[in-house]
Amino acid sequence: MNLDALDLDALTELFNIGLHRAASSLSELAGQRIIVDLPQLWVTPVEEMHDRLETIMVGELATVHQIFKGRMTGDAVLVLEYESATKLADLLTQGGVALEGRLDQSAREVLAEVGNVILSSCLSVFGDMLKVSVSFSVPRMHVESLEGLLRSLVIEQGDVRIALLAATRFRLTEQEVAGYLIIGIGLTSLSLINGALEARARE
Amino acid sequence: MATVMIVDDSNYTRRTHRRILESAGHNVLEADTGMAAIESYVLNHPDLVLLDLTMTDMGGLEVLEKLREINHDARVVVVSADVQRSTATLVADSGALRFLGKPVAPAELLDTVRELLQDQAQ
Repeated sequence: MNLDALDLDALTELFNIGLHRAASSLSELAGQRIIVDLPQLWVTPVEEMHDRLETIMVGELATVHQIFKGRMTGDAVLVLEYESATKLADLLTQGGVALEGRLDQSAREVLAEVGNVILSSCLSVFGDMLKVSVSFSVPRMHVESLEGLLRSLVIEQGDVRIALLAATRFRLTEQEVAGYLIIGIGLTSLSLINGALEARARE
Repeated sequence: MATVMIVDDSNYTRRTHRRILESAGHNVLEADTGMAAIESYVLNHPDLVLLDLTMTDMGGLEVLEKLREINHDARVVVVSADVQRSTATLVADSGALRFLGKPVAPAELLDTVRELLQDQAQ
């Protein structure tokens, strides 16, 4: 399958629905309303992702990885710049963690839980819409560089490694947290998603 | 059968919902922005509007307010990915008849349209 054959509009809507479902779960967790901007979506081979991301993801990144398996297999990663991650942990615990702007152990546990909520909500929507069953691993929270993040994406061996990057901003009351969702996936799984979206439109 | 206007910035959603509605014999109009929706509403007077909340030029609730200024009895169903409880409350307070969370199942969409059109006829 050629990436030019992808229906980017359909994929963007899939991410839009997934991210809003994630925001709804986050809203329950945070006890406040959350506004989600329309996501921007890029699809490129993982090897080309670095050049695209190095200008927008600078310095240390707080990431939560969640590997998913089933007919659709890949690695979903919530990516926050370090400062955004401390702000989010601080907001969700009313200042209980991330003291002095550092992601201590408590803050990392909060972010792992937040990542789990966001990624599971989003991937569950993917599974429901595409009618595929997906199981999730335990989320792993890291502080890593962009290079480390791209190196650590877990994608099916022997397949072309594709990255789907959705960039959006979650706005909580009077605060704004920019975040990114990267899905590392093999071309086979991506073809399945594209085909399932097309089938859904024809139902 | 009725004329239903789909207002959504996603071509994919418009295409999917158009197919569902046309399968039940409805006439379908499309608008991909809030402003295009308002213009089309004035020109075509659709029986029902399916309105997304998040669009590039203006928010769905703002569009709904404008539609109700044009026609206080405008029949609008909000169809949105934003399924927060606070959003459902905002939508109910804004005068929309129903709130459907995306993705909408074909049967749910058709049942909603049928019920609202029956109410209109009575």
